[in-house]
Amino acid sequence: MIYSLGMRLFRNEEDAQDFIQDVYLEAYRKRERYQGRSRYSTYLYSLALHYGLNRIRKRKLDFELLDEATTAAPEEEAPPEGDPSVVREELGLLPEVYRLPIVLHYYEKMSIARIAESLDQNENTVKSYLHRGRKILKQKIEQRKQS
Amino acid sequence: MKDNESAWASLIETAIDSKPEPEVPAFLYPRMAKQLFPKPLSRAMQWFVAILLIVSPPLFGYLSDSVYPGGTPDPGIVYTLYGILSLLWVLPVAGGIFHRSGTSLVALSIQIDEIIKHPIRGIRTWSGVSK
Repeated sequence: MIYSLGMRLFRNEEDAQDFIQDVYLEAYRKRERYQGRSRYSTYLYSLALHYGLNRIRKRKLDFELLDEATTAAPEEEAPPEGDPSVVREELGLLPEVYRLPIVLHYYEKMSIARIAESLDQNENTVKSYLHRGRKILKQKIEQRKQS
Repeated sequence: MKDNESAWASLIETAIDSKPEPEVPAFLYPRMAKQLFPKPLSRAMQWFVAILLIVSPPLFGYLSDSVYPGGTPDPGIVYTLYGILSLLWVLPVAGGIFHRSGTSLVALSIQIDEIIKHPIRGIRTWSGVSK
C-alpha cells in the first residue's frame, strides 16, 4: 500500500523504498497521535500521503506559467478509450508536473485547492497543468491506438 | 463536464489498479534485504526458519556438549559465536519474512507498543475489529 503510493508519487523504485522507511519511522515517532478512531492502515495511508507531498514540495517541481487559455473548456476533454496498461504506461511517461496533479486529483481524490496547497502552487497553475496533462495523455494514447 | 471528470477518474483508477505494485520489504534496510533475498521466502521456508530460530539455542548447546563433553572450554566464546551466527541470519531472515508480508519491523514495534499500552483497544484495532 505504502510502496504503491511511493511509486505513484515518485515513479522510482529507490525513492519509493526510501519513502517506505521514512514513513514507518515517522509513524513510529508519531505513534502517540494515533487515537484508534480509524483503522490503522487508513491512518498510516493519510500520514504517508501527507509525508510524500511534503517531500515533493521540498523538491520544488519546475512549474512554469502556462497560457491561461489552457485552463479553458474542460467539457472538451472527454477521456480517451484505451487499454488500461497503455494508459498506465503513458501516464508513467508524463513529466512529473503533469502526472502528479492527475494522480492526486483522479486517484487520490484530492481537491484542486488541496493539491495546490500541497505542491505550493496556486489553484490556476494546478488547473492548467491538470488540463495540459490530460490533453497530452489523450494525444499519446490516441497515437498508440493509431500505430 | 461532471461526466467527463468521472470518466477521467475512472480511466486513471482502472489504469493504476490494472497492475498493483508488488509489496516490498518495508524493512529498515530494504536494499540489503532485497540483495540477500531477491525473491520472498516461500511459506514452507518461513516455517522452517522460524522453527530453526526456536530450536537453535538448545541444538547449539547440545552440539557444544558433544564436541566438548563435560562442558565447553570457554562459554563466552560459544555465546559470542552463537550471537554472531544469530545476527548473520536473523537479519536477512527477518528481511525475507517481512519481504513477503509487506509489513515492517517499525510497524511491528508500533503494534507491540500499542498493545502494551492499550491492550484491549490495541487488540481490537490490530485484529481488524476497530471502531
